[in-house]
Amino acid sequence: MTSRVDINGENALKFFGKMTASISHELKNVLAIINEKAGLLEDLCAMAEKGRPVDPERIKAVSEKVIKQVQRGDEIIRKLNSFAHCTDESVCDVDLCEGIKLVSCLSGRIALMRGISLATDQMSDPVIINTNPFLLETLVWLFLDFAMDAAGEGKTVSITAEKQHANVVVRFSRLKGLAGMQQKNFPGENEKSLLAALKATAVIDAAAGEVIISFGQY
Amino acid sequence: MRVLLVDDEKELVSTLAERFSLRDIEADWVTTGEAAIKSVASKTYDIAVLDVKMPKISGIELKKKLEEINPVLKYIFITGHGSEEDFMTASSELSAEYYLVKPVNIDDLIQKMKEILINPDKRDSLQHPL
Repeated sequence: MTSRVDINGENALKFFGKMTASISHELKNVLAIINEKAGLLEDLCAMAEKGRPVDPERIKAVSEKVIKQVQRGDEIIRKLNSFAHCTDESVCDVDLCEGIKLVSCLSGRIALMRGISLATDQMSDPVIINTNPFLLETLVWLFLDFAMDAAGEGKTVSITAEKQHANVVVRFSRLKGLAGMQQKNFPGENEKSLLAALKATAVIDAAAGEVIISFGQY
Repeated sequence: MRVLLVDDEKELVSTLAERFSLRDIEADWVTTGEAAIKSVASKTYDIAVLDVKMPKISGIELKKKLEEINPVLKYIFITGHGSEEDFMTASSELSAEYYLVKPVNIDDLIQKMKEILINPDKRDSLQHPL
């Protein structure tokens, strides 16, 4: 397999930039909420100092929400860390399900902004392939980006990975608007070069509302 | 002063509204652009504090819709952009508006609201609203 990232350097950088920009926005929101909750606790303390009674249950409830936001921030950073480490090795064994879940999670806010829900909960057993993890995640993102357009606002994109005979496939389904998008020339050159680098092929089944990426010989 | 807070992060706007009320400022909050349009159509506000990035309707688009309903309503934008430079680059359309980068300091926010309400024309001449 051709594992050099520079064959898709521009794609890869755009993907990295898009994900990190989205994550930094989400972290800013987490910090903003913690900031307001801490400010509220300060306000309540100031009230108490002036002799106005403050219900301890109120303090407890605010503190619990701070803890919840810290957990949310921790989860975001954990995913960001996994993403950052996907460039560590040029080729290794990758659980496709985990890779899809990671890209979906990183894309969560982008999907939310587009009014799309992402469903990855139908995957349970690991589906292992030996590949370049960063190029794989870039490819999944490019197809997910297209799938979100094809699903349309207010809809859900379902993503699954499964073994199918000698192949492993990634399936983007419930794309109701796919039939009207045939003129969009997808996959484009970027996707085609990534597919070639990963020895994968793609099929668009407009009638079934599905886009399928197939990785051969596993 | 009557304030409408609009941000898709419920915990953020609800807490900010509670902190405003502790300062005797009347504040309502909503988490969608659609709800903001309904609120402005049914109640008179002096100022709206809008998140820039929200699902379905962005803060910038929402401002345009709210202006049609209440032409005298004033605005402050809050943004989750990583830095003020990022925000200014991405939203040159807002260069003459007041904006604050998250996390916001409530005293700064109240100060900006007062500035806009006391002297609304001042914002157009500001090079660096912050």
